[in-house]
Amino acid sequence: MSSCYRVVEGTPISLAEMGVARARDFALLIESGATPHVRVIECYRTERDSEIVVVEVRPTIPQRPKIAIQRIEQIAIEFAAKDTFYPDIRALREGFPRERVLHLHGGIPADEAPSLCLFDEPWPDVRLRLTANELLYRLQNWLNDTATGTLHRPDQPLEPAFLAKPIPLILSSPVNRLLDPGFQLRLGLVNSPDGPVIMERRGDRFFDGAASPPLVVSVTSAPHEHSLINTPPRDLRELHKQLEPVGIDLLSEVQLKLFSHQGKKEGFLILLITLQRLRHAEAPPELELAAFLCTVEHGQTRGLEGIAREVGLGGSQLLPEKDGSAVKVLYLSVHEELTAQSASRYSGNELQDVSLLGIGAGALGSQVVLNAARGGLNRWTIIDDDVLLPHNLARHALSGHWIGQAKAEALTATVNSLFSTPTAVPENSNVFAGPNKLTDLSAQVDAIVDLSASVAVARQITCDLESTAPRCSAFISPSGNDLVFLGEAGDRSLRLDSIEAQYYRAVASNEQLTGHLQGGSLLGSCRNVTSRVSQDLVGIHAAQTVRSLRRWLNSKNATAIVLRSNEENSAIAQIQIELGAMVEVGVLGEWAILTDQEFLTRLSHQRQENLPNETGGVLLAHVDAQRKTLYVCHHIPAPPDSQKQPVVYIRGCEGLTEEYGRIRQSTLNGLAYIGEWHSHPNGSACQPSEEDLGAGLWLAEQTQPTSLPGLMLIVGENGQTCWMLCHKSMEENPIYHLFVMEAEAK
Amino acid sequence: MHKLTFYPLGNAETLLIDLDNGRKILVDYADRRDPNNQYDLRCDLQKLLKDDLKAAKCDNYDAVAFTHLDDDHVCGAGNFFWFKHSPKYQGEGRIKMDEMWVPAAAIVEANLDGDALLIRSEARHRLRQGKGIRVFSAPGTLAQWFKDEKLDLADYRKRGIVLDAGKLVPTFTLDDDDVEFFIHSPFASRTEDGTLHVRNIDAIVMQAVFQVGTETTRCLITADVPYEQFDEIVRMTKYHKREERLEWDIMDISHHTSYTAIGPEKGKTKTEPTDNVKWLFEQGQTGGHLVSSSDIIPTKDTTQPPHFQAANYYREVETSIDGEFNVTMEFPSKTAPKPLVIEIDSRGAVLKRESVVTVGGSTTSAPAHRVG
Repeated sequence: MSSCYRVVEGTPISLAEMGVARARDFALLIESGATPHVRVIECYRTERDSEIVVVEVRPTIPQRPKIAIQRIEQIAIEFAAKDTFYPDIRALREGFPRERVLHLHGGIPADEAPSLCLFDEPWPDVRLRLTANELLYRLQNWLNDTATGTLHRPDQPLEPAFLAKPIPLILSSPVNRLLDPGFQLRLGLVNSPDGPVIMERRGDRFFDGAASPPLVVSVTSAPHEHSLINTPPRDLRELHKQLEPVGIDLLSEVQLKLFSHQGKKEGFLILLITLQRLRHAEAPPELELAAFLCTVEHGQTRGLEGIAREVGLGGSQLLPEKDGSAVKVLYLSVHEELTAQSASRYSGNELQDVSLLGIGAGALGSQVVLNAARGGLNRWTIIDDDVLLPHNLARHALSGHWIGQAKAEALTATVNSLFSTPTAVPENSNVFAGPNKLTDLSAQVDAIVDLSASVAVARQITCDLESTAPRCSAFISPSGNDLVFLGEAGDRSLRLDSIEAQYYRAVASNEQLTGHLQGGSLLGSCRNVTSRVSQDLVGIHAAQTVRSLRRWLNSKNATAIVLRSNEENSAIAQIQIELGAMVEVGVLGEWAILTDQEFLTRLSHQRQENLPNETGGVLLAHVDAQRKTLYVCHHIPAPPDSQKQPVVYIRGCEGLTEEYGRIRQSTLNGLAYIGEWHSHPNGSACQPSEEDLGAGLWLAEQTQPTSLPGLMLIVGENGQTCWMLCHKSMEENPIYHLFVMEAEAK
Repeated sequence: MHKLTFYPLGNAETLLIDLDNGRKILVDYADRRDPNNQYDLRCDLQKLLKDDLKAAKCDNYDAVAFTHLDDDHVCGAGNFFWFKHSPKYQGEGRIKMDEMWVPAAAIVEANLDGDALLIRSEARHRLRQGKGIRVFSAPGTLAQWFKDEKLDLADYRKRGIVLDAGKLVPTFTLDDDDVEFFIHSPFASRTEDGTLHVRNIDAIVMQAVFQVGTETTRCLITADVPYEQFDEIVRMTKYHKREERLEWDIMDISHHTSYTAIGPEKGKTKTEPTDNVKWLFEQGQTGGHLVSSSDIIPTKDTTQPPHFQAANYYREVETSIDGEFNVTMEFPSKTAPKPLVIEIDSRGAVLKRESVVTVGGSTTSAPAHRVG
């Protein structure tokens, strides 16, 4: 098949005469013989002092190509004299395909050779690493991949429909609202240093001026492959021509709209063009919205009336000679404000359509809420009763603009400013003030997120709120280095209070958590963040909290993790805390007793290991004095001097005081002595023996001064346990409350 | 995607067929390079094939076809393959042939030596064992050999060990492998009358039909057969109304671009084809490929192939089908020939033209230069 090639303008020069380094390097590479499928035909110098290398390339093309690249193509590569711009790469064959071809430069007149687009980065970046070899490689790949229709990678966005510097049009309302006849688009104008910006008006935005509501003409194209790159149209007629091939009769649409609005003479016209673009012939359409602003500048009549005239509507008569060429069109890039969907998409997140009750808008809370919202998790009710003070700003997400304002209100406004429609609501009240209010709020949400850094708040929302929504709690350790994230099971079968008790057990026993609560006060709460934690740590923890929150919301599983930031190298280590199923033993006397399967299993193992002898040790619990609840979750194994015999166990005391002291210290008094446990051998009942009852009396006397009851726990065969609560007031005989619990059926 | 690799071996042929499912078929083995001649541009076939097998983590071919026993199609096979008939030709590094394909002539031919003799011995051994072999056509001489060996030819036919022209080779199917091999030659009618064997005539000619999705691509493998055999193949195929069995997208040109594969006269500037050969080359599909496993096409008249007159005929075919005619010792360049690879995908045959090497790509795939 013989082909005709376009003639290159310029003076032929030899390799030796070449002066543009890139051009010479390129020609030399090919002349070296290292590239068997390419040869240099001629080199030229232009009047602009650029140099052109014309090469013949034999690409790899399939027997039945998608785009008719031929076995031999002639390509001219023009290198700018001073390396100021990309090499201009032109396909010289007459009839080189343009239809359906992607990555051709726009704005090239049809009578010129098509210009191949090889780069998707700015020239200053490209030229840093562009060698002659790389350029040739890209050229060959452009031809090879265009032939097979694979040049446009599946992960690349579609080619832009129009290449022009647009005026941004920012819409708060969904685009389809604009088509609603009853909807009035209120537009405002901002004069930015880079030119005008048109925005839909809303109360929390700033404008330099307002515009009267425009008339909107909306048209939709037929589905078409995304190869159309239009040079910017200057007037309505040009745009009409460009849209004809994709099934839009723009002039007729404009005439129709203006005709039906003849009463309206002022204002301007906006064209909304929805293009149904296809990645390839079989792909589903992807919608691209292009918009144009129409004005008449030089006519006698301006506004809509002028536009109507210029498209042939002369009041009572038709003006067939008017074809729209006097109507200027300005390209608008339409930007819709964020929604949960688009925020999720931009963040690479799956959309999680859940509503959250956030408690606490402090340092951690404010940053968690804003981080989560930006990622699409934006439906928050925010509770806080505090106001923003200057010292808060060291670690708070809010700006100084909000000083003196209620944190809940300010944070809500900030979240809502990010999105097209408000999604957050404030609750400017104290969690403890009105439980009814809190119950009402919590009934309407999918999950409750405690960010208050207060044990009391966490306990309140866990135990005193009637809501099926699962709870989670995030707080920072006193040193500021560790973040704790605790989350309930989705069905609340494992509650936050039990998880918290198990967390204390981990703090007391897991070596990875050594020093976790260091720096806290033994009298205060372990969650009292000292005022010496920097924003960079809070920022890290807020980010980690959001990630943990998203995972927890997805999995619906109970979780307890500590994310420890290494002070030396900023690495984050994740420490997963093993959680056992919550076991509600029951109410013994005035006290409710909760434990967990993990704890019971540990005791059973010790019993088993010591058979046929008995064994035992000290029981530790997390105590809620307000709700009279004992979370029995930890123990100290039998000291070495204990006496273990088949029917007798006497707990020794060697090293016990030190170990108890260590546990108290490491948990910031989160765990306390609550009694003793021992095992019964196989074949014996789990119920207390005479000796056990005697020990119960001793225990009651021991714990009397601590205002707590004494608990005796007997662990028997097959996981059976006997719980005996013993307490004694001044005058009374000891009172025993007994409960025998069978192991839970597996 | 399937892949055909033609190796630059001078006037000699080896074709490796890689199926999309990973199975491998080798057609002929002719390692003709002279390792002592640094100017020999022919490829180191043994190394290339072993490297390829190593990359695929295997030490065998699913099938090896020897189209005929001429040296330019079997040279060096004795150093490369694992032969079951003799422990002398077994051991580490030797490549196993799950199945051998040979023409009947390769069983019955006499006066052989070297690699040809070794292949005959192996083929006879496998035939006696009744496995790992397919023999194409059953002339009278083969029937006699079966009789002498006290083997039941009818049974071997039934089991598909002996196959006649016009049949498919059962080893590969479109359903399982996306490929089928249709046997055109040899056919028994040519050889029933006597003991004379003209190897080029008795060579294997096959049409390989590759499938990718709904698209079909066909390759004609023609060994070194002369125009007379093509005439006969065309005549028989038309007689059986199976013209589609001679359609091709890839023509593995016969006999190293010898005029004898086209017509009786070499011609001054171009060899004129016989009517049947002309018809055969008209069956080439648009954008198809003609590949000649041969030396560089000379510019003047020569006795030995390749003949420039024959090349001129193929160039005419190239133009008429808007396809490509390539010569193994000229691709991608006469000074540095490399294996010619044709991939077969849903867009048909694609001759791979390597883009310019990327930085470090070739340097890191070979040992560095010695330093002191």
